[in-house]
Amino acid sequence: MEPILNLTGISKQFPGVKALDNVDFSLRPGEVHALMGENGAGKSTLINIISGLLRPSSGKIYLAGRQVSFAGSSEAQKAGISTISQEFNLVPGLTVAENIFLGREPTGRSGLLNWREIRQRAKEILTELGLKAPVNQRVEYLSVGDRQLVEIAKALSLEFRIITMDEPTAALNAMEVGRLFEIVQKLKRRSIAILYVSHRLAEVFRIADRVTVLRDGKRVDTRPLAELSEDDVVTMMLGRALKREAMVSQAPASIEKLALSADDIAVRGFLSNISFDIRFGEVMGCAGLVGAGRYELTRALFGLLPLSHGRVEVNGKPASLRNPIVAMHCGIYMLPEDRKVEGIFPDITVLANMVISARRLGTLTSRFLIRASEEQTQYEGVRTLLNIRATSPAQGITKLSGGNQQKVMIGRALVSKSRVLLLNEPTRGVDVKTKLEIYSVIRKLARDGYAIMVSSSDIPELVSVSDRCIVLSAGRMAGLLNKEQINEDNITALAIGTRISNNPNE
Amino acid sequence: MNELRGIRSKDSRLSGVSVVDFFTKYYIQSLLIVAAVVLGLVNPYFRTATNLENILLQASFSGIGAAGMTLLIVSGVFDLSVAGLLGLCGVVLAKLIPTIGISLAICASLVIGLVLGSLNGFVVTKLRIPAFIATLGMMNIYLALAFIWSGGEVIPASDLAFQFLGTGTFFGVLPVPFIVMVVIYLFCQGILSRTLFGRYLQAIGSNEIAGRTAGLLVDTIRIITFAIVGGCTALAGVFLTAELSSANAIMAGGYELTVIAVVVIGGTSLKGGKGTLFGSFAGALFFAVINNALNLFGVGAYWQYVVTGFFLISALGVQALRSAVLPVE
Amino acid sequence: MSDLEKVSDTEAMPKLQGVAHFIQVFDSLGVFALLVVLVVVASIIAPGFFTYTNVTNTIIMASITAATGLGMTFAIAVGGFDLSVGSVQGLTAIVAASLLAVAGVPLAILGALLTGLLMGLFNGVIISKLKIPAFVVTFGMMSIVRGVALLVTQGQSVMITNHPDFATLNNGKILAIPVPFIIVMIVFTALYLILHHTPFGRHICAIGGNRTAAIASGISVDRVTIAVFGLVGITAAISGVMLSSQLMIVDGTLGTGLELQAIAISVLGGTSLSGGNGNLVGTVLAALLLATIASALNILKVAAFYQYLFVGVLLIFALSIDTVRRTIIAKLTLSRV
Repeated sequence: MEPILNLTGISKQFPGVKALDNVDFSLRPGEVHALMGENGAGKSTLINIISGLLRPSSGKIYLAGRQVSFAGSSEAQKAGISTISQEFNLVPGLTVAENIFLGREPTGRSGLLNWREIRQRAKEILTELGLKAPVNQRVEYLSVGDRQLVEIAKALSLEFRIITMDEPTAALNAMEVGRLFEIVQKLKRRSIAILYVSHRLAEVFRIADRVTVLRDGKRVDTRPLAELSEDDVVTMMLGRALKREAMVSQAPASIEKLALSADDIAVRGFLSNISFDIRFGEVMGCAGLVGAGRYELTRALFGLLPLSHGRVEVNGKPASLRNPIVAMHCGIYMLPEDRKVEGIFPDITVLANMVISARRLGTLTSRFLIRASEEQTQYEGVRTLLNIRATSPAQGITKLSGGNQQKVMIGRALVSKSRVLLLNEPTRGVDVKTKLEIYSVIRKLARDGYAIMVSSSDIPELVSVSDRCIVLSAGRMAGLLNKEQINEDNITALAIGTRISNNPNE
Repeated sequence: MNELRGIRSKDSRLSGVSVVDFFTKYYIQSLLIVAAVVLGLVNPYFRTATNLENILLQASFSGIGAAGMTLLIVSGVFDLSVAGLLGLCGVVLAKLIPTIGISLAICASLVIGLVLGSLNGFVVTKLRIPAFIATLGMMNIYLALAFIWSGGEVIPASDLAFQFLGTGTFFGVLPVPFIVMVVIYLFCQGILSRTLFGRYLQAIGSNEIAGRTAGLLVDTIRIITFAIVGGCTALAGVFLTAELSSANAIMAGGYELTVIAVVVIGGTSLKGGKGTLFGSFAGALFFAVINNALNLFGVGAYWQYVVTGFFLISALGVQALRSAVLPVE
Repeated sequence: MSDLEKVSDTEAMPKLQGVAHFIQVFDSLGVFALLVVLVVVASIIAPGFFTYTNVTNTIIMASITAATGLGMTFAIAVGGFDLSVGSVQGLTAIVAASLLAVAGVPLAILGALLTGLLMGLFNGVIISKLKIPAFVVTFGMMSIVRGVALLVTQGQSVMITNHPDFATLNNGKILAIPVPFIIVMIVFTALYLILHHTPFGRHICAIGGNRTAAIASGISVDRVTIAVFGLVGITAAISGVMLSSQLMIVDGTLGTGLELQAIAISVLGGTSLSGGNGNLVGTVLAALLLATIASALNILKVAAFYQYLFVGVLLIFALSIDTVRRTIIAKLTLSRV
């Protein structure tokens, strides 16, 4: 079948790095074409070129047989290419209908908005997608899954021929994922081509027809998914076979005393009846779908959210974790899941970013003045331990790659001299190589006696690093898994709320 | 050495543009020197010791306030209440001198400056009102209080010893306020580059949310910085009162504009996260030179409004263009 | 599966909608209720408040502020502020007065409006093309325009002597309603239609609500911004014309503090500082509120200084309420994006 979009010989050169190197790519109408690759492989660059945000340094783009060149994203949109991004492009204060028609509102003769037409057409599209919210509802009151549907409705109303979805299931629960996939089937029947970018192998195998794998800016291969296994795809992404053994965690060293103990804690509106403990020397996984309460749990333990019920003991002593300072005094530190929003200080150096949470004990001057040599030493130590690649401690942190930035964030936790670490999505936005490095660091820290909680939406990650694992579901503890019970099926089952056969929690 | 203390260093990008680099990095200082030299050549009176003394004196009024304001802007917020704050502190000072003596009156005035600054900080952090609007409202309040307390009149402060602060000089040419200004700038520079507090200011200005997550006491740091601004402003008020030998509620009309213009033209970014005290210092001198030139050439006082506003917007434009032109990422 | 559905967000929707509706209604009703209460209180404690003359004067006072306030509401909705409106009011008053010395009333008004428009467009261009935050640009312009006003008048006053009929713009009545208020009603109607019933108005809310989304939808943010600030300039000019017709003598210091009042009444009227929406009804009500209090204080012979104090405190108060409002909405919305 004739492809609706055809990219030939696409290269993109940035100062100092070639993001894409002679990539061929095509999309057929009515197909779901997955795009996979590690971070830095060139996926984002390719999508940005397709959606018109970037121009290729060389190569040609053919849309329905005609060569095109987009000067910007609005041109690409006019040509029929829609991009659904992770941050929804919806205006929260406007209604669903207003959002769908934003930028091309139908007007009557007097120049005033034609509400009747707007409402009617919006209703039509929404019914087709199965969205039950009224068209006059303001978008800010919709759930994440519903908002995504509004975005898709917007794309449909514009009669796009190509829709790009970038990690569309990142923030959805299982039911919403199912609904999304049904809609994708509907789109396929309308001969709309879908470019599906995702890290989640299982989903890709479920929904996509073909997959293109990029590595280091080059296209490795494009194959129908029916011909491939998951391991095949991973091999294509990494360039080598994944050593399965590396993903399995080793037997833990001696597990000792209780580092943290949570007794029937609750956070109003988000969590209730949560009880567990973490021992020094162990890695406790925290699983659960987005919205299950993992975010709130780590924040409550770090003093950023108030507990409405229950008690927490740290190191055997009861602790009232009112704010992060108190938490740090008790020896707890939290790594936020989105380093760009809550973690990195873009205007200061790598070194400053790392030592910012260091607690100074001692005389007044040492609390107040910067002790450069001391900080250098601390920095070097952590840098070596985590293998951070930075040209100098004075480098601006934004120059570092995502993986190295994440390492700096982990370094910040270490420098704070806290023995209890709450790590949220520790390998988010990090390539596979660095992922493995971070896993081995986590295990090393555990061996050294740290108590670590890893909260993650990446189930294989939890399987590979956790000694034990709690699973949250809709704000409650669905289960607490021991070493032998930790596997993808059990975790998924508990997370979506079904029971598993021998459930030893309680 | 600065690099090790966590100051953002400019990574050298391309060699061979060092002259351009220098000029862009120190553009206000270069501009200042050029302006001073040109004016000195063109107008003979400009070069006289009296005039230069006057320039240094005028520069110190806005300069002292600008030191604190620079720190505040680095932390990501502004204070538009300084004109009212200065008026109020000046009125208090003038009224108290006859009753409790010069030193105590000055102390009282400074303390009030610190307290009012903290109040500003409180309103911004605890009531979570955007800084520039909150301080705009506080400005009204301070101005009104100053009016009320002065009864709308000019309060004289004619104690000779006190006037020395405004008119006296060291070595015959450096006015007292200027010396103090230099000291304040050195002190503030020390805070910014050598203390954890200074680093926290940069961090909070760079990413406030990350600051909270990293365990920084954002609110307390902000309140302290606002207090510093209040203190600096009150100090400027002391010298202004001394120079005018009097105080009244609107003696510093437009002060917030001048101070912010000084900071901006000095190169500190309004977004926060990084700043240059050296730039503000040069900026204060620059504005003093320009205003002095306007006076020398018989241009009316009203032009100063226009000129200050013009420079503010131009400086912002230059900053905006620079960040657009320099390669990102 | 049923456990999951039970806690899905859609269940919280009715409750959320209810609270949101309540807040929106409260914003407008609350100000109205407050106004009524204050009028009653003022009538009681300030003898002579509820007389025809005084009420008329109060309404006229409110109208002058309200006109600019409506413009400011637009600016806040699009995500910016205009701190130069006071200076623009002063300048346009001078332009009107000066033109009246040599031409007729229509031309004078036109000249003033054009001046306001030009100032506003200039603001808009610098804000959008140079990408400098609105409040800083208008902060600088506040000073520049003030300087121009003082320069043009050289510190002197300009009297309007040629056209005594110009004063009817302030004193005249149509069907017993003061002309200034009618002007405000016209401005209000026009702006209300624009904001809620034209694509342009929806684009304004889009830009203020989610700028990236607006850009992605093909909206020209620059053009909308420039147009909005032009509009603000016009409303400031309308206030300037009204003021000059009231005083019949203008000078370069007029209009100082108008920006503060305009922001205060917008926020008090329910427009949130975060942008994305504008409560025009609330702005007008809040203008009446402010004028009522000022009028009552006048009657009670409270010194002008205290009124200054009062506006400042009122602003802080209004802003605190806005903070509370924003916090409640944020907590309830549970946005997980």
